[in-house]
Amino acid sequence: MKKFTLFLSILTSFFLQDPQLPEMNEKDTGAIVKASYLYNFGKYIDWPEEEKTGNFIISVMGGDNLYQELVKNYNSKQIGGQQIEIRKLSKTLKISDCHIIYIGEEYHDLLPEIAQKFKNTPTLVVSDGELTLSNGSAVAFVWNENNWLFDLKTPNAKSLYIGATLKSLARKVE
Amino acid sequence: MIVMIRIIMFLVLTFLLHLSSISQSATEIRNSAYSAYKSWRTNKAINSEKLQEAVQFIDEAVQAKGGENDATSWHLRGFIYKDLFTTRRSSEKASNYRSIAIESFSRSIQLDKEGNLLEENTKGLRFLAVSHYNDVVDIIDTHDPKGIFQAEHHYSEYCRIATELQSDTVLNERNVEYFLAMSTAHRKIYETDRDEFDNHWQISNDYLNKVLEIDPNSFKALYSTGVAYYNRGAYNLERLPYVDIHDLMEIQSESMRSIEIALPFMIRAYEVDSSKIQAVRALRIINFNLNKIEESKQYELREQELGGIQPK
Repeated sequence: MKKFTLFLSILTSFFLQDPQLPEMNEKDTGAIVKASYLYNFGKYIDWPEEEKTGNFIISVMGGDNLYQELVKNYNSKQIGGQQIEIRKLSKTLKISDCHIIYIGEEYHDLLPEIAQKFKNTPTLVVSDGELTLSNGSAVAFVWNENNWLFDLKTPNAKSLYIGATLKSLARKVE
Repeated sequence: MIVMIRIIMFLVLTFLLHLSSISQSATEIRNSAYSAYKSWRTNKAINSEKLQEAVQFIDEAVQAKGGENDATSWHLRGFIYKDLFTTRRSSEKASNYRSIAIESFSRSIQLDKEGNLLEENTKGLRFLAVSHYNDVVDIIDTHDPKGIFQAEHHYSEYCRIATELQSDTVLNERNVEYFLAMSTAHRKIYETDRDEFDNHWQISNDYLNKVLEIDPNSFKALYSTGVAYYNRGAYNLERLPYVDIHDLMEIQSESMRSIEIALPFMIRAYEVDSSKIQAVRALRIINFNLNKIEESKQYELREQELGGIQPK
């Protein structure tokens, strides 16, 4: 009887190859989600009429994965009638006007200065962490129950009209 | 009255003679089958029609009176149908030939009380069991979304015969191997078109669960389950560009739930074998995506130790 088991073992062990271990699809899901939020902010916030011509500019300082995601999926697409343009910023370069500026965690020390620059302009300053709202950002991405949500501080976006939809979806509105 | 008695006696005699002739003919028919089969085996090319002739005789033999309980007839039928199966493997009827061969060998074993034919019957059954197993492998390798479901039938036949030949056969190890292979096959089908073959994702996971029921510490099953949930969450986010913010939040929620489920499986895989760089890498990625940055960095260091990534 043992012979039979051995017989089958010898024969069949060649048949089924060791199943390969599956590959992880490495992604930065936070960057993907935040990119989609930025796109939606562009759709749900009303910019002054004079800002509704030309390209819709989203500038990114830090947050390399978010920048890559924006370039890959949103560059040259449309918001309203405007073509989206993604710009990468560096702290050594002059920051030009844009519709949305995202400041990544690695540049949070520059946030107060940047926010001050855009204080009275129709630019939405977005950053990570609710504490950044007190440093001048109008939108802060926050990690809440394993999801990326956002907090709003409308006084930090005085030149923009933030509608009821965004306010209702925000975790917190100041 | 006398006439009637004579008639009755004549009828009884005729009946007895008929019974005798039937009994004789079963053996004769079997011999004819054997003769045709032998001719075919001697020269298969020239006597190709002899195999079919043998089939007709042997089918008749096992139906004839006396033949139905004759171990030798069933034994011979097993071999004839086994050869019919192997020579006409690509025909539509091949599967039927194999079933008949298996049934015939099994019947012969049951009837062969003295065990004179046991060794040869067992060899025949082993051969057919392995043929079922080979079919499983062929099906798995093709990754055909429809054909894959036939693997279950072949594998259950393989198991049934193995258990029939050796009642105390423990198939756990073989089952684990099979379940992992089937899980991989269904996963690959799912990956070819995630929308069309979405159901294969769950089937793939069901097979992994079966592995974990047998061996709760199977690294492959724990790791693969973790990857399955993580990848599902990650791929789900590919729907995001251009969706409305309400959908964005819903899709994100679904994705993150899936990634959350992945974490405990991957932690268990790492506990089972902490030297496997795949698990370390997976834990770095999963923790990072659950915004557990410190934990992710710990696994990054471990990955560096194992040579998976270069230190920054």
